[in-house]
Amino acid sequence: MADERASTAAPLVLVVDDEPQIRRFLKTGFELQGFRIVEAGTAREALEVAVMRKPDLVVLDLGLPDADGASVLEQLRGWFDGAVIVLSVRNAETDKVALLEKGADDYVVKPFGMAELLARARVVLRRVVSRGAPEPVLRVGALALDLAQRIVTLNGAPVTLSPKQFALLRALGMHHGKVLTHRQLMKELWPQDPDEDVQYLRILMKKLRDKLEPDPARPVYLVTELAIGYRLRTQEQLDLTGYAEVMP
Amino acid sequence: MRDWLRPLGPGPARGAYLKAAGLVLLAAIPTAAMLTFTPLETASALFMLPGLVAAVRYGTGPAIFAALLGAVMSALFYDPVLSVLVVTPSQIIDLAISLIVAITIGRLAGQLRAEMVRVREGERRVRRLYELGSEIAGAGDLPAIYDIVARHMGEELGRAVVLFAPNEAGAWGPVRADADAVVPGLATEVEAFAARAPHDGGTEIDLVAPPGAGRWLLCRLGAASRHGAVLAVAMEDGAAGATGEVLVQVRSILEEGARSLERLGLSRALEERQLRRRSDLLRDMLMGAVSHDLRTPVASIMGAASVISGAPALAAEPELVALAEAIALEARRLDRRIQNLLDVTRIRAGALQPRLEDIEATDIVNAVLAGLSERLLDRRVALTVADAHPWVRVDPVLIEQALVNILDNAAKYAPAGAPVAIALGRSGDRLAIDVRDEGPGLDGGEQAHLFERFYRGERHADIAGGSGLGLTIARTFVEACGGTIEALSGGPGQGTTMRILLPVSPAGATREDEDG
Repeated sequence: MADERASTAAPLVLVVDDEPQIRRFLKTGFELQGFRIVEAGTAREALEVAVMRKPDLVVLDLGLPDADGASVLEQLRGWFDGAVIVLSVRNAETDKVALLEKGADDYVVKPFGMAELLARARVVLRRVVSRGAPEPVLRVGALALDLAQRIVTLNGAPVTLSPKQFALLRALGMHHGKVLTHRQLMKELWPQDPDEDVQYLRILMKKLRDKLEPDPARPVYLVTELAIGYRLRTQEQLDLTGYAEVMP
Repeated sequence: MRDWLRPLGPGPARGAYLKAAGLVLLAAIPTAAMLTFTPLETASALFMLPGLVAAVRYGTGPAIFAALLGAVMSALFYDPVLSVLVVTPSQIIDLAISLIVAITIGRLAGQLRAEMVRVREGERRVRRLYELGSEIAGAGDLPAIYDIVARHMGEELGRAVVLFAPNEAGAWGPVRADADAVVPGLATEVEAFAARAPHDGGTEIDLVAPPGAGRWLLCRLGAASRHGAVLAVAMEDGAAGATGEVLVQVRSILEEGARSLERLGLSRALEERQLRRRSDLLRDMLMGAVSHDLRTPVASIMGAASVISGAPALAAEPELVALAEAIALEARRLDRRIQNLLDVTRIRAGALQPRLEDIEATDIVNAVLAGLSERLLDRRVALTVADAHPWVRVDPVLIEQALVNILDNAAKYAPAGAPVAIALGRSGDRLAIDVRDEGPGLDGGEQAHLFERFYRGERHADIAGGSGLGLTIARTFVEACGGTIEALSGGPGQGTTMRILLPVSPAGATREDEDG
């Protein structure tokens, strides 16, 4: 299912991984969902193909034989304004944070299922297609967020947020579905003092969850990415989790 | 031992004979004086004294000389006075006694002197050894020790000494470039010498003559050629005897160096450190290889299975979709097992460095539940959170993995369909996370051994696969964050509660009012 907003041809995905078997399932997985695919096995090839074909999305493995993923990302980000999803490994939280702050739109930890990657891909492609302007009203579960009108409702009933709480929700809503690192959020909320204790952000998030989440102890909209940051889930991401089944 | 008993060189100098003669002349004065009141036979006995003194001070030669001279002198006093032509029997007896005394005392004094020389040489060696030893003790690594040995060698021998060692690329070059001592062509000789390992027929010491650079004595330092060094000692163009002498000195210094190293146990410590460094390197390589070679195929299997399970063509084949999903789930499970093996390697290597953060424990539990879907656990998880619970200061990623292992374990042992309950609340000055299952519970022995590596309850050996690593890892991770973990059970059939106690964040509660 291609993104409805993509008025032109199906989005083009550049898959960069040195393992042919990984590229193979990614190719089939993306093509079955209506994407077009180009492949690259090395960093050099990836940069060449990116220049020639101008993909909408780059799926970038970090373990390339000829360069590390961070340097490929840096070179890409010099001119490339499409989306980038990084394929990462466990126990590399600091690497993930660094990559997100260097311009990766999201990451997926290996091993991963195709549905997980597709959900992330749709989220980051929507941003590219709409060129940064978010949807007028974001909806996920019972939550609706009207960024232009600054109105937040739960099941249609308005919710009153403090200015900082709204700013946090707005920052996550502007990048709906994407993970934002602690530092990215701190910069957004305390631009004059982004190196302030992350603790302020955590407490702010706790208060926001208390107001918006059906069960603040088990948040479904505003989720934590451990040691990395926060994410406001999209409806599709919400549907992918098994959470709904165990909710009271 | 008094100072007048000085050690002698190889032979008494000419001065010793002159001094012996002086002593004899000195003895003539009291002899002449004594002649006024004693008979000559008695007075001439005084001439034995110079021989005695000379024997003690100057050795046997000057003593015999003094005895003979004494006999001649005493002859001068006999009638006719100032003539040596008349020899009386008493003169001959005097001479014989003088010679016997001179030779006996001279030999004794000589032995004494030799003994002294040995003692002083021993003292000097001990002092040198001590100096070398204490300098080596202060050195941090092998290169520094080689440097010290080289310096001692230079000081002892008074010759140019150049220390050679291999660089990173394995090429040999001088370490401390004493510019005037470094000779072109020497490095090549050194490299060739270093390549001839002792066990391949090479020697510890060798004499080489690089073209146009004189002769050099090469000495091997250290056993392992990669971490070894070679000392080059400049040899003068001298006789073979001089070379042999230097060789003896060089050997003794090398032995002293080796002895100091041995005495300090340093050489073994250094070897062990090198061994450890090598094994660390090997482990990292192995971990990288395992990580890549095992996990990449697993990632391919899981990815491919997930593509199949989502394929539109299979929409009407729910059983095939379920099979493909099962493949994906098992692949994920396999990946977690591999992760456990890697974690154990990390723990064993002491490479665990917690990154502590102040965080709400619910964030960690939720991350666990999100990552470890209930389908993977194959059972329901109920979460209860006490209203007022403190934040914790832990490494969230380590605690997450510990919890995953504990949930995995609970799911493995509890009967199918029985839920697992997670409860979160304050316990004294700590935060408690209880993971309770309805499984077979624990008996006393199991409770004690539960967290030991590779321990798996014998009662359950048939039902539960896995390596038994999970709980060991969980405990290590929790303890690395300053927490504790214990297994509580009412006994067999009563279920098991794993209680994790985590340190509370000192800042968490105080900033509750903060909201701009």
